[in-house]
Amino acid sequence: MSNINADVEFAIRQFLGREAMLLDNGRLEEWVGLLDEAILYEIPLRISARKREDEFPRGAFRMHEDMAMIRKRLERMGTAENWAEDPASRTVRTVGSIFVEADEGDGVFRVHSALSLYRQRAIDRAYEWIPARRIDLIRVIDDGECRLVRRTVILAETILQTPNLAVFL
Amino acid sequence: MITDTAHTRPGTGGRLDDILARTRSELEKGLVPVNIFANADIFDAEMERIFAKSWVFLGFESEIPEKGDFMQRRIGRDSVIVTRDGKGEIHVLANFCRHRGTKLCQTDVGNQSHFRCPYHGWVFKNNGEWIGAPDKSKAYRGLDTRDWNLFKAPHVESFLGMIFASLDADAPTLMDYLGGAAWFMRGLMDLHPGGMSPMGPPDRYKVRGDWKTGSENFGGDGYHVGVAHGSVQTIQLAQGFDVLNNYSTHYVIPGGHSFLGHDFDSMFGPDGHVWYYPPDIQRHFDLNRIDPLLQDVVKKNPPIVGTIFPNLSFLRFFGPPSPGKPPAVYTSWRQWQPSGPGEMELWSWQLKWNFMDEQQAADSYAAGQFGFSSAGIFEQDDTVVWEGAPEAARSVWARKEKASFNMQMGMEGMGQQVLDTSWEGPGEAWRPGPGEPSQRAFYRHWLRQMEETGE
Repeated sequence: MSNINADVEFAIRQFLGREAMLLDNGRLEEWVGLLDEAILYEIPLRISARKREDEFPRGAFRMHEDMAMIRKRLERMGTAENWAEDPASRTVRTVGSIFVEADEGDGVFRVHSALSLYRQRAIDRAYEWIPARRIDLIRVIDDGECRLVRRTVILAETILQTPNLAVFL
Repeated sequence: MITDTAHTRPGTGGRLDDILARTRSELEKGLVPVNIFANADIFDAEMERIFAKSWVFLGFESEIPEKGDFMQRRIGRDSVIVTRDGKGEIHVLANFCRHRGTKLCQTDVGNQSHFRCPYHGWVFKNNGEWIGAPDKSKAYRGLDTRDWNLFKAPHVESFLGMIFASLDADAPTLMDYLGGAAWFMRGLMDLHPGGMSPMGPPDRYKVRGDWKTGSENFGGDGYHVGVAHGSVQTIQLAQGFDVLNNYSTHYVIPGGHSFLGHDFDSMFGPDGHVWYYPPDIQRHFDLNRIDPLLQDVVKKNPPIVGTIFPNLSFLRFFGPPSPGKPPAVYTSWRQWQPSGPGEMELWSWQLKWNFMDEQQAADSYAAGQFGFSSAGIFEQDDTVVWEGAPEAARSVWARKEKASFNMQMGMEGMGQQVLDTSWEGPGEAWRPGPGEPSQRAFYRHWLRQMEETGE
């Protein structure tokens, strides 16, 4: 039986909103606290193909990261040599179209959302916009607290127009 | 009246011929004028004199394994379709209908025996031949269809599974074009009869840097590693950046190609042999496939980066697939696709040895993408520092000062680098670093191509 109900949906919406706030405010340590230790954060490579199912060649990715890799990224961002984000981009992310699709069992839910991320780097004139969909597995714990177990980011772009993915999506 | 755009549209910092003349005199001093990095006239001339003349890399044979497979690729800024026809032969076709110019192929890959134009319906076989149009007998009874085939690259050749094409009817053979670079490429790719192939399509991202900067950097810039990529050593995912240049050899090959070797044994101890490949990979290699001198290079001074003129480079380095796991060696071929003056797309393929089991391939892919990809902890810093040259090229102040960039490192009287006169391999070997002989040679060759209009 599915346990998707208003409480679950509220908890997930609050979680995604809080996550967006933390990321936009550079509170990355707190953000990592929202990740399950077994997190898989992945961005598959996408190509232009006639059929939707052919857009994601098997096994090809831009990112495919576990907790150790994510922590290393944070460590890197903490060095004085993080030129890609020196200073950190100013970002505003809008997370919407939230849809709790399925109860995967063990308190884990499959959640779809759309992400529209505005990014301005340094004193750059050109703004960058990273549009994506996300398919998350989110664990809802009894008191309504949530953990991100898996995130699959589906970029709208096949050729990325921002020069790097130094920001989390 | 149509006039030569080179004489009607001066870009930033002057006219084409003036910039080239100045580049010639500056290069003699080891300098490169800033103007060449974001100038519309320079860019247009590069498309004609370099990209329409050179052998340009298009992808791997294994990306289009079946009859009818195709992939959309680029020669300079031109979109081309690389097809495998019904006989298994590879063709490189201009991606537009001869009737009105409509794009025939809108996807990155696919499988088709023919391409039908969505505008009026002209149809072409996947070898480029015109084969039909709606109402053909009423509309085109008198058409000599042989005149209306898709434009087809006159020269297409493969080497080590890599497809190249040249749009120049008078081009030398691919092997003549590569010259000594082919020797080094064998050292990289031909250590096993099964060869190498890409693990998926290229990772592609727009970089606001000039294509030449990517080529020149991967051709031999060991000097930036300790600074631009310093963070990776600071977080202990790599080592040896501080001494890297002391163990380097710049192999400078005629034709604008170059390779940057490193003495891995001295840097990393006996495990450094053959790019630090672990024993479970190395036991597959048959070094007797390559000549003794090349074996020596591969064992003791393997190139970790290199550039094939104009815009193809490779990288072979090692790192953990995830922190804490044993390092895996990764190989990326990458292309600096010019998309406009001072901007490019970076296309990067990660390759595996075809003998690898799934886990070995997955580890290599993960380590490679973690380091060098749109999210790579090395590469993301390059994408930012390379934005500077075009910005400087657009600077009025830089133009007023007749600014040049400095590529004098290692020149006589400048540092410790010398030409190794005992080197018996192709081209020249300059060692040790730091030095910039590869970069200077790249721009000298670039200039030769740019001055040779060929019209």
